Formats: sequence, structure tokens, C-alpha cells
Amino acid sequence: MTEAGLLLHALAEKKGGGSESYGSWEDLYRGKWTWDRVVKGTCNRADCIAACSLDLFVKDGIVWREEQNAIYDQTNEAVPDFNPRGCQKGICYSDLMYDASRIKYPLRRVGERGSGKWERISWDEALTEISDKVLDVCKEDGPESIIYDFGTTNIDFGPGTPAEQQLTRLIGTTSLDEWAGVGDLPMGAIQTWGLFNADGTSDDWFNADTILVWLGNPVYTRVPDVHFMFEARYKGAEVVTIAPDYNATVVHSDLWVNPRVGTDAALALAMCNVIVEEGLQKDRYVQEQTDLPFLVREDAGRFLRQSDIAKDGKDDVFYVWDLATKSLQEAPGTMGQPDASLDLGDLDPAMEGDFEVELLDGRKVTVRPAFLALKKRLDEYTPERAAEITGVAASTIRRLARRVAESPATLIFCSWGACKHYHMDLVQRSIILLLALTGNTGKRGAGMRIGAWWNMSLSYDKAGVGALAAAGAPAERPKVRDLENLMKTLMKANSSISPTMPFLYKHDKGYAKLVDTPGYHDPDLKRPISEYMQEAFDKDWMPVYPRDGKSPRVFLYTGMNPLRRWPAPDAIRENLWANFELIVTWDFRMSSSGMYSDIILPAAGWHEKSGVKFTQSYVPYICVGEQAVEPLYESKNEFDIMAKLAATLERRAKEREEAPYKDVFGNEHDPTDIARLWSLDGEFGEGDAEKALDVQFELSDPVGDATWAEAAEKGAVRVTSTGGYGPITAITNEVEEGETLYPFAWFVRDKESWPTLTGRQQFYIDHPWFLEAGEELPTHKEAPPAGGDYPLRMTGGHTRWSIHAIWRSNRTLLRLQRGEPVMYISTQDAAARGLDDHDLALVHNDVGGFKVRVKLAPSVQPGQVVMYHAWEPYQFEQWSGQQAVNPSPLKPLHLVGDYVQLSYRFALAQPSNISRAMTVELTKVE
Amino acid sequence: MRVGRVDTRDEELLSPESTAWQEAAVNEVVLSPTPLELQPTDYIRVSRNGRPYGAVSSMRVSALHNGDSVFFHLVWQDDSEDRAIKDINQFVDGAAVMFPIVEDAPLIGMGIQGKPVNVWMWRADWERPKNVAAEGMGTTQRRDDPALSSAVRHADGNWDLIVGRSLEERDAPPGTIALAPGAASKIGFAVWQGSEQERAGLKAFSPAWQDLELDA
Amino acid sequence: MTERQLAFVFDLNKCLGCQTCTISCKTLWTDQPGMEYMWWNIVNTMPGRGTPRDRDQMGGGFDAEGRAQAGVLPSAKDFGEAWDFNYDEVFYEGKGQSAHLHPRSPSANGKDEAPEWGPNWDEDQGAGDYPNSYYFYLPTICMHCTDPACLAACPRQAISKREEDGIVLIDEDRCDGYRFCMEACPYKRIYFNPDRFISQKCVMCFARLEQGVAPACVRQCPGRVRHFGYLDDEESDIFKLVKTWKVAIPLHPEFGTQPNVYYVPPLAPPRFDENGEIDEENPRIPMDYLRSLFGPAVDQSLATLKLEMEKTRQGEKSELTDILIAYKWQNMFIPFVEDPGELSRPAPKS
Ligand code: SF4
Ligand code: SF4
Ligand code: SF4
Repeated sequence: MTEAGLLLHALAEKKGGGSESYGSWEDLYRGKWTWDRVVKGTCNRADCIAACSLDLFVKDGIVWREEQNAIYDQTNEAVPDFNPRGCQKGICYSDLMYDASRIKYPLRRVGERGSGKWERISWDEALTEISDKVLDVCKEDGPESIIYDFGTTNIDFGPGTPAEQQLTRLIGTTSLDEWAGVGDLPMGAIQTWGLFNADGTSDDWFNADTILVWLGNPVYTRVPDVHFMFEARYKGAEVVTIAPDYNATVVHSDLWVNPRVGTDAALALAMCNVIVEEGLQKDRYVQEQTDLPFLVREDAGRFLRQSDIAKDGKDDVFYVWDLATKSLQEAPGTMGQPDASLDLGDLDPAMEGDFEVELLDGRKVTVRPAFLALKKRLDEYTPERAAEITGVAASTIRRLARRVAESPATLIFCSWGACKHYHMDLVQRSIILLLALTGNTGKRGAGMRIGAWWNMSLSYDKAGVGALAAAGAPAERPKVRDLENLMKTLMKANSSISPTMPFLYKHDKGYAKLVDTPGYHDPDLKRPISEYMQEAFDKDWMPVYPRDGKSPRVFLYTGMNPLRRWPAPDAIRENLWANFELIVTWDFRMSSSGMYSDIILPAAGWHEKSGVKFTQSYVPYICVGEQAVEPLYESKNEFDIMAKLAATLERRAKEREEAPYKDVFGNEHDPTDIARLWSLDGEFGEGDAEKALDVQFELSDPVGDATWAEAAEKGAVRVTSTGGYGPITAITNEVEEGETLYPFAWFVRDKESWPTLTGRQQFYIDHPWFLEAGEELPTHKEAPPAGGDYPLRMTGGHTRWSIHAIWRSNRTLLRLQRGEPVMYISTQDAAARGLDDHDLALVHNDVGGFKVRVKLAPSVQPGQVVMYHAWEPYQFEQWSGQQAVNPSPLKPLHLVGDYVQLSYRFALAQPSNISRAMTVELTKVE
Repeated sequence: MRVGRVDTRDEELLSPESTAWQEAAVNEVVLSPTPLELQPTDYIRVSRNGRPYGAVSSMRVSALHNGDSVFFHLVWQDDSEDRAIKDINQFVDGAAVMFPIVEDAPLIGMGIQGKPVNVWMWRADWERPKNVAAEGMGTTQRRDDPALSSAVRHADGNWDLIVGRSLEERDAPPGTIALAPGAASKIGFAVWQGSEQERAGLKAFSPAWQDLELDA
Repeated sequence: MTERQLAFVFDLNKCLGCQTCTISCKTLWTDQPGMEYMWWNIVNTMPGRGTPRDRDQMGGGFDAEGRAQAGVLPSAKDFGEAWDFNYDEVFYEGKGQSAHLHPRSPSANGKDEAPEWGPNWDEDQGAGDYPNSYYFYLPTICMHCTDPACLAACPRQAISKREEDGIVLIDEDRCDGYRFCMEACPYKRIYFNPDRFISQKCVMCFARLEQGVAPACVRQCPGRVRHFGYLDDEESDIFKLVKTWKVAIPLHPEFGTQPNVYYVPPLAPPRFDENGEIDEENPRIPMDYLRSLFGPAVDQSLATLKLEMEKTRQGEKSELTDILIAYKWQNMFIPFVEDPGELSRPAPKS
């Protein structure tokens, strides 16, 4: 039984037993497999990075079922095709859209927050109340005290999210940057490459000869794409999964490597050790693509800079020792070099040796290539030493290192799993180092893969985007480093986007107190955490709004689920959350955060509106969903909600005779004109979602000449271009017909500078804080005992069963699990605590606790407990969910903002929500 | 078995408590399990080998008619009252009254090709009994028959069931026995114990036809 | 033997345990009242108890002499009940944090009874001792047996095997809900619909096949696990995997029904020895365990598979691995390659 099935059954009953018209029982089956229409849909606004095109079979006005729209062409004969992308979740959205969690009407809280007491109100009443509060706050404290949080759970690539952003920009709200707030920001990649995610098409995975799945579980998380890995295995590739537990991906691997939780950096560095010891590294690649030949001053531990040796010298010009001319030479392509090219020409940079240079003040200092410092660091990670740290046999480390070095193409599937660990940057830097030493980054079927996006236009403002494009359109593709610099400057000057974790630290005393707990941090940082935080705020490394003593007062969010995701939600609910005077969400389903909100607006479900799916590069198509049925009950799509809200704001502003107000950047906002501005001068209003999509398609390069209508007809259009480099686009290669796509060709094939200080994949970060922490080079550090002195480490991972919390409460899928949250625990640890399978246990530490059923599994590493992602707090007793034990101790080094690749912009360098490897204990609940 | 004629309305005869039944003659019918070797499939024979069924060994039967309808009153012992299944591995109680359509139709096996029997079948989860035409096991054609009626109660560890049918022949489903005042036929009985997972040929039945005579 | 036989090959080395197949069948056929607990297609973690629980110990099928074997009739709890959830209580009844969303057994008559089993209860638990843990996924559907125990057990001849394609079907008009088929089926792939009082099971999506469309669970499998076609079609993947290469083998051949779902048995990474070193000598999944599932043919099947994979590692070509890769997805289910999204199928007028 499904919800759609029941509805259709009820309809048939009402019509008087539709079955009677059929001759035989066989005809009943034939009659069941019928429909009125097929519409092309997708998991429209789910924050699922696989964009799958679905056929929606519509019958009697009900979306009866989904089936994958298997239309993807094979890229070339040598790789398998993509069909039939989809998963169990997407093909039962029709069940979710009709189930009991569906929000039907605008609701206003009538009891305490979280009491579950609601009254149904009209749209008009709801929007008027919201508008009045927004206008009050804009007038009293400025618009930054209104906090808009767009995701990520309920987000699209048009037209909903752009429509929301258009309105919140006009109001002037603070927007939360949730990239790191959800723990998805690969800081190690940013520190090394200056950009974050990296991937191409998933069929490129098939081209790998060795695939390491490292800190990811694609069998759970990449259901539509992971087949390419196992098909590669049949083609002759070796698939190795590196994970503490025997997870679902290990099942199909040729080798399982099982390091202790959080020791992955030591493993990677030991592999690097083997490669360097055995001389297996690709020298020319390392010379050109990395900062390892750069000379480092022995006295200061910092790079030798032009400013050290020349009057008026630059801080971002660096040196190598050229073996050809036996002389000091400027390294090409660093940030201070006008030409963003890594081309070494005839230079033959020394990788070893001591050299002497004279500083400006006449002092002589020894300089030596960073590679020597690295070698010294790697000496600490012999396979034998690493075996002690990781528990992985030295022989396995050697075997794996040699395999990586000798394999024509090694691909490391990383996912965002690493990003959720305190020292994730060290892990990622170590892994990237391994790939750099072996020349694997920027190669077909190789390199580290964390995902990337097609650069679709996120605006339907033709005048705005069009003008920008026309003005800036250079004859030649702009350099990535220049684009990065431009984006950072623009955002700094004019954007109240605030990184979430520093925002929480600043505006939530409860969370700040947890972060300040000394024992939860890296002992190498000698000062109290609050001092690092203060310095970051003082230097404006972390722009957090509202500022000047003002507080957040209104919270508008789009159906993502902050009280599910943010750390220690119990603390946050009592501080920041309690201080919000109005909390509003628009969502199609009841979330735990919704339960604690003041007004819930019913958003249309995915099959009830048109839109563009997350444009991730796994599949070389832009997948779209067309509205299949009218919005259910009183729901509306986000575009229309924004149109209505803009109109209500304007009406109320006029009625209240509001004067224009200013934001912190001095821009004036006139609320009595806001509907006109939002509508782009009357161009767009309620009901114009598809019109906006028309424009977005026009403004988007990846779709070429294809129109929205064509896309909606077929469900997807093949991309003809990556769309260039944008704020979240990091493919850095061109789409070529008949070829799979891999990232970073611009830097490696074309030798363009990376957007880092050194212009290279930078492994030596000579920022004082990094030097203080001993992290100038990749190293291994144990995760601090965040949570207190407890014996178990709670890890996690995205679940097979839901995208974030969206499907967590769905009845059909819950019936294929245990119906409620579970925690995986090793049989040994369970026995030691007297726990049997399915017993209820209290998981606790100094931060808090929650009760959960345990699932005993020999696959789990002793010492580890696994809590998969995103159960709704309301699925736990007292709504105390899995985040209750999470203090999310943000890592101070991630606050640094004055070092090219480490300066903040939206979705770049910032501290993350650390939700893995908390220390906990389990006690049986009798 | 004699079917006495009374001057009582249908509704009253359809009540097990009715005084009309107190006067009626009671026939003790002996039942025994349908033989294992006669079970229709190898699976049933194998799976019930050593797993007894058909344990209800007797039934008390009375019969009355009022010129318009005939009623059979069946009482048998069954401590478990299985009126509805609460799980998919459960079965309900049932009983049947059977008549040969041609003289020598075999009772065992519910008739045979060309020699049909008619069964008025009651099942504890049905609203009304069904009219079944059979020419051997597994061939049954089961039909709704508005002329069939039943009333039942379960008391003191007994099922107390009345099955009746109007004597009217018009609109009778094909294969229905024609009974009339003064006529004679034969009759047999069967009982299914739901708690013993009895269904189909797994039942207790009266091994031989008994004579049936309706008072004129 | 029927004139022709349609068959499946499930490649366990690609199966993700994602249950997309399970849901595809649910939303297509078992979405009606009375079918709540039915999963005609289910994927189990093995070693595990299966669905229904302990199904391999439930009997049925035939012995070596072809004699029917007694079987157990599973309960709804054995299959795993379709739990209800207290949505409204949590969302709207003003109970605050005192009520949390949780499953309730539908047979507990409104009592708050926590479930103790479900169709996928032991997902990802498996067996072995860490770090020599192991498990894999095993999808099952009706095997459309050449000698169906269900058909043989039914006293009403309600079950038939179609001459033209070997599909085993339960005639829902003839079925009387006796459930001998459920007992007799050794794979326990028949469910009982209490609302309609009939037994139901996988129908091999015959209505789709009639239109040239592959079964839902085949077409919707994102792991590209499921090959489908005629067993006698020498060009088909099925023929090549089952007959030519003999890597696809039946589950529990000793059940005696000659099932027509064939499996490419599972490989696993090497185990570790006492020193934590890679031990290539002994398989991680004990061969005895695999033999208990797939019979003695599993040795040869795995040997062939490993040999061919070794060839491709050396850069050579292998017809076998090319088939398993399935470069062109549609070739997995020739001739049923029609796209359902392109069909027009209005409901018949009442
Ligand atoms: S057979 Fe396919 S759809 Fe089913 S679980 Fe395996 S991979 Fe998923
Ligand atoms: S698997 Fe079971 S139900 Fe299917 S044909 Fe075989 S015996 Fe019958
Ligand atoms: S073939 Fe069709 S009916 Fe059978 S399990 Fe697959 S989807 Fe279900």
C-alpha cells in the first residue's frame, strides 16, 4: 500500500468499483498499469546531488508512481551509459507527497513553541503578520536582524531559491551560509587548491584503474552513479574501500583497509612516505603543480618572499632554486606574478638542498625546498609507525602505496564525509598530497572527487545578469584566480551573508560556551579558543551579521531543518532560537524545526511545481521537473509565496507609511516599492514560475540553446558547456562531446595557476596560526575528545534511506528499516554494556544525551558507534536527537581570513559543523 | 433424516434459540477426517501426514421446513471460535451441507466429473453462506445465492448453526439441488476447524450419504 | 518444461541493497489495501534471516526424489508487519515532546506495541568477527520455477505456468485463499491478501511484458544488477550467463523447483589474518556458507568469474565481464526494451 495507491483505491470505490469493467483478474492488472499522462519530474528541491529525471505517471489527478526516465546517452562506446539513474527515495516521493507529514494549510502556533498546538490561518493573515514583524525590525534594528536561511535541504536551482534570494536581498536580510553549517565544506581542499568541490561526470570513474573510496560510502549515498565503480572493477580496476567499518561499499571492494576512526591522515602520509622513500613520485608534476620546490626560510619556517630580499618586494612572489642555472629564480604563476601560468619553461626547480640567501637587512639565512620539510614530516609516518596509529598492517600500507603510484589512473572518491571531522583538513591535505606526488590530480579517471556543479544561472534577472555578462565578457576565459579575487572583493563589500558556525558562536551563548570548552580542542593551540574567535571577528576575517550589538530577531527559513542539524540543539533552542521573536518556515512536510516555529507556510510538493534540480556534474544533463498536478491543499510554490510576500510587504509598508531604511553597507531599501522591484518592474508575479525558468535557461550556458520548454518536454537536456567557473563550480575543464569529464584540466593540462597564494596545489601553509599548530604541512592529529572523557567515538554517514530528513518520517520507507532511529554498535562493545540487539540505550556525554535502539553488527569497528544521518528529533523520546551530544567544536585554524585561499567568501573558507567522532558512552535503558 | 414440516415463519426458524427447534428430531451424525490419500495434491498429503485434522467426530443435526424454505440446524463442538483471521496464517471455521445432484455422485471428493454435488457452505467470516457446485475436489464453483441464509452463535464450546434455503427453484444458481415438500434426496456434512488450519479437503465429513426426506 | 522460459540473472556483485526494485514493485502492484505488508520483491542482507524470517528453514519444495516437502505457513510478523505511525499525535495533538513518532504493530489493536521484526530488520548486520565481518545483498522475487511447488500444491488448480514464457501466475478468480502454495513455496515468495482473501505474488509484470516493457524491478534497478530475457535466446545475456559461462546459478537448487532467477554469486575483499595482514588464502565469506545458498556450483562460478576478472586486470578482454558491465543498459533486457514513458495507456472506460 502506498498513499497514492490508497487515494486511487478510494477514488475507484467512489466511482463504484472501477474493477467491474474488467473481464478477468488479468485485466485488473492490465488496467492497473494505466495512466492519463506522463510528466517529466525529478526530486525537484531535494538537496540530493544526484539529479535524476523521472517519469511521473499521473492518474485521476494523482501522481500515482515514478519511474526513472532513462534517457541518458552513452558518452562513448568505451564507457557504460548512465541509465537508469534514480533511487528508492525518488521513486516514492509520490508516497511522501500525500502522507501524513504533509503541511496542508498555513499554521500559526497557539501554544508554546514545540507544543504541537496550531491554528489554521489564511495566507493573508500569515503574510500580514510576517510583513509587519519584518517592517518593525527593519525600522528598529536594520534588516540584518532578519535572518534568512536558504538551506540546504529544500533548495532548487530555480525558480524557487532565486525568487527567495531576490526578495531577501531587497529586504536586506542576513543570509546564512550553510555550506560549512551542514559540514560539507572540504577545508583541506580549499587550503590546498583554493577551491572546494571537484568532480566531473560519474562515467569518468569508469576510466580509473584504481579507485579508493575513502571517507565515503557511495553504495548508500551515490545510488544512481556508484555502478560505474563496480563496472570499472569488472573492466580491471581495483576498488579499495578505506573505512573503519565494513560498510556497504566494502561489500563490493577488492580490498578493505580499516584504519581506526580518525587516523586516515596517518595512513595517507605513510603511503606518501613509501612513495617518496621508494622514489615513486612523478617529479615533473611535483615541480610544476605543487609548492614543494618553493624555498622555505630555515629561521622563520616561512616561504622566502620577494619582500624578504628586495625593497618594495611583494609578499606573494616566491622562489625556487633552479638546478639548470644554479640560481635563485622566481616561481612563475604565484599570486604576485602578473601571468597566471605555471609553465616552468626551462626551470628545473631543486627539490632538495640547502641554499643561502641574503635578506634585506643583510642577514644570511638558509633556505631549502618545502619538499625537504615534507620529507622530514613523512619520516614520522613510516608504515610501521602508521600501523601503530591506524591499526593497518605496514605491509598493506606498502602494497596500497605502490598500487597508487604505479596505477595509470588513481581516483579517490572522497565525498563530504571527511568534512565533518575536526581535523578533516589534515586528512584531505594528506590525501591530495598522495595524489599530487603520483600525478593523479587533473587527469582522466583520476584525482580526488567530491562533487561539482554545472554553472547554471541562479537568477532570472536578464537585465542584471545580462548586463554583467556583457560588461565583463572577455574574449578569453577569465582566470580562476582572478574570478576568485573578484568574488571575494564583491562579497566583502556588499553582502551580509554570514558563515553559519561563527554566526552561531556570536549569537548563541549556549553554543559559544560549548565551543569554548578547552578540552574539546587541539591541545597544540595554546590560547583559549575565545581569543582565536575574537581575533577573527576583530580582523573581520569572519563577517557575521547583525553586528554592533544588535541581535537576530526574525528567522525565515525554507524548510531546511536547523534544529535537526545544528549542534547541541537543546542549547541553541534556549538561546538564539528563544530570542527570535518570529520564526517562519515554508515547507511541504512537518520537520522538527517546523514544530518549534511560529508560522508554517505550506509549500507545494516537488511534483506540484516546475523547477531545475541541483545541477551536479555527475550526470552531463540538466534535469528538470515539470508541474504534474496542482499544488495540494492550500500549498503554493516558493516563487508564488515570494510574490505574495513581496506584495504583502509593499501593501503593509504603504499602509504603515514606512520610510526607506538603510542596511549596514549604506544601501537604501524602500519597502513601499519592494513588490515592484521584486517583480522586475512587473515582469514577474504569482504564477510566473515557468516564465522565470525561461529566462534562467536563456541566461545559462550549460544548456546551450535549449529552452525551458524543451527541457520540460524531455526531462533533461545534455550540457554543452560547464558554464565556466562560478561560486560553487569547480569542474575547471571543458565539456567535450564524446568524452567523459574530469576536473582540473585548466590547471594541469593548461598549466593555469591555482587560486592559491602560491598558485599551486599548496601543501605548505606558512600562516602563523598554522605554524603555531604545527599544521604548516599535512600531519596526523587525533580528534580531540569533544564531548568529554568517554570511550566510544560516534561516527556517522549519510543514510541509504533519506536525503537529510526528508524521507526519514516516510511510512513506506520506515517499514523497510526498523521504523525508528537505530545506532550501529560492534558486537563486542554491545556485550560489554549488556546490550542486546534492539535494546534501548542512552547515548550520553558531557553535552547531552539521547535514547536510541542499538543494532548489533560485526561490521562495526570496536570503539566506534555509527549513527546514520538525519533522523528527526521528533523520532526520539523527548525529541532529543542525535545532535544532542554534539558540541561541534569548530576548528580555529578555519577562521583564518588573511591568506589568499583562506579568506572568506560564500561557500568558501570557514569553520564547519563538526559532527563526527564525538566521544560518547552507551548505557542500557531498562 | 427426516425434515419435519412446521408452520413457523422463516425468521423464527433462522434463530438457534427458537422454540421451534426444541421439538425437532436430533440426528447424531458421525464425522471422520477426509482420508489423506484422497487429498488432491501431493503437497497436502505430505504436509498433513502425521499432522491430524478432521478431529470433530460428530455433529447433531435437525432439519425443518415450512413449505417455503428448508433449514438445517447443525451443532458441533469447537472450543475455539475462529470467526475471522487475525493473521495470515490463520483460518476460519466452516461447515457445509452437501447434496448429490445425480444419484451416485460420490460424497468423498465432492462429486466427480459428470456427477456433481451441491454444497451450501458456511464460513464464519462470511456474511451469508455460498452455493457451491462441485464435480470433484478443486473444481468448485462458488456463487452468491440470495436464497441461502444462515444464523449462528457460539456458546458453551459449541457452534450452533442454521443454514437455510428457500425451496423456490427460480433463479437458483446452476447445480443447485431441487428440494420440495414430500421429496427425497441424500445429504452429507462437513466441518472445518480453523484453529487446525483446516481448509479445502482438510476437514471432517460424514463418510456416507444419508437419506433425506421432506415431509409433505 | 514450457515452450519458452523468461528468466532473470541478478548480479550480486553490483547489488547495492538499495531496495529501489522493492519500491518499484510496491508502487506498481502492491499499493492497494490488504497489500500493506507485501514486498513481492525484497532484498535481504545475508547472512541474515531473510523475508519471511528464517525462510530457509521453512520447508517446502521437493526432495531429491521429487516428493513434495512440508512447509510452514508464515505469519504476518514473520514477513514483517506494516507498522502504523502516530503522525497526528506528534504533529497536531498538542502533546509537545511527550509524544514522539514511532512505529506500532498494527495487530496490537491500538496498543503501543513496539515491532520486533520487519522485512529488512537485519539490514547490514551480517556475520563474522570484526575485522573478518562479511555480508552481501540478496534480492529475491518469485522464481517462476520450472517445477513450481506452489502450482503443485494448489488443490484448486488456481496456479498456472504459461506455456509461452513460463510465467507462474495465481488466478485471482480461482484462488480460494487456501495458502497451500505459501507453505509449499520453498522461497516463501507468496503473500496472502486478507482483504481479498487470495494469495498474491510477483506476476513478472506480465502487463508490461505484453507491451514490450521490461519488469519494473528490472528497469528501475539503479545498480544495473538485473538481466532479463528468454533462457533459450542464445543472443541474450541470460543465455550467456546461465548456459555459456555458467556463472549465474540458482539459489537453493536443492529445493527442487528449478527456479528461473539466477545469481552471480558474491565476491568479497580478502580477510585479515591474526596479524592484521591481508590473507588471500582463505575467503572472507566462508565457501561453506555460499554452498549452503547456491549449492556446489558456486565454486566453479566464482572461479570462472575470478579468472575472467584477472584477465581484464591484465588488460585483456572478456566477454563475460563485458556482459556484466552492461555498457548499454537496454541490452540487459532484450527484447523488452520499450520505454513506458512513451506509451499511451489510458484506463479502460467503465
Ligand atoms: S537489485 Fe538493484 S534495485 Fe534492487 S537492491 Fe540491488 S541494486 Fe538496488
Ligand atoms: S518461487 Fe515459489 S511462488 Fe514462485 S514459482 Fe517457485 S514455488 Fe511458485
Ligand atoms: S517482476 Fe514485476 S511483479 Fe515481479 S517482483 Fe519485479 S516488479 Fe514485482
